[in-house]
Amino acid sequence: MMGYVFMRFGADFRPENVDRLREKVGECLQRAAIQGSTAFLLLNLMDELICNILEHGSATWVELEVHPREKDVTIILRDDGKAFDVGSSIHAEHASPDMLDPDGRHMGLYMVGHIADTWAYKRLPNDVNELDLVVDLTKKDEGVRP
Amino acid sequence: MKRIEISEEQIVGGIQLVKPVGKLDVFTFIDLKKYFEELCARMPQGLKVVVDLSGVEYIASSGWSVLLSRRQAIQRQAGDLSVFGMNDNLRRVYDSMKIDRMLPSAAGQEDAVRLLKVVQP
Repeated sequence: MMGYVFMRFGADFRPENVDRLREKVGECLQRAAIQGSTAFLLLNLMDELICNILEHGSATWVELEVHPREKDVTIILRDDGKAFDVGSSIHAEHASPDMLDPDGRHMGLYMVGHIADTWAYKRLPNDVNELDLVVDLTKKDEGVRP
Repeated sequence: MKRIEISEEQIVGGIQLVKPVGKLDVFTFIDLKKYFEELCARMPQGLKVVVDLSGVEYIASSGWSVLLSRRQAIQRQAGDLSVFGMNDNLRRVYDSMKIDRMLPSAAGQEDAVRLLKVVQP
């Protein structure tokens, strides 16, 4: 297994902060040797989840771990926001009109369900949410650089 | 510079060419939504739109949601909408989401125009 990358962000749902978060997540993927459109795809995935946490979860911090392997990557997100089992809300079926709600939240979970291959949610004892996702890179066009 | 700029022009056949430039994310999707609502109010029947995404660097789910829902609304009024000009990164996300049946896309403007369907009200 290759090394993993860990980052912790302060939660602040303003455009300039979200842009900075995207840059940091991009750096995180680069350090994990994930590049090109695969990196962009994973950035989308994490952006959806982090924005969801910041906008709806009232979190004060978010932690991100990226564990790249040859054929897949595991992403772990932790936050101190409200308990919300996002894992059970992720849609991996066909897009449907009911997910085209005004805030696009269901569309976000649909997007996550199509990029991630597995997901699991835990509420940790110290009131921390943890979401583990695995993305199978062999099904995508590009893999991680060895 | 604004986070998203939206311009429009009418091209051959009375088709509206809409060009957003910037990021279409959780902070700007509402601008595109309002723009389309105003466009649909101006041209309520048979509106045909091609959206040039070549100037868009990022689309979050809320942005995709606006494009999908506006196409549905426009189709209900006997019109149609297609998109073109996505860069490789956006195309990757679009393909992963498997929304091609709900939001047809082309590489260039002419092909996007050809994708527009004549829908009966």
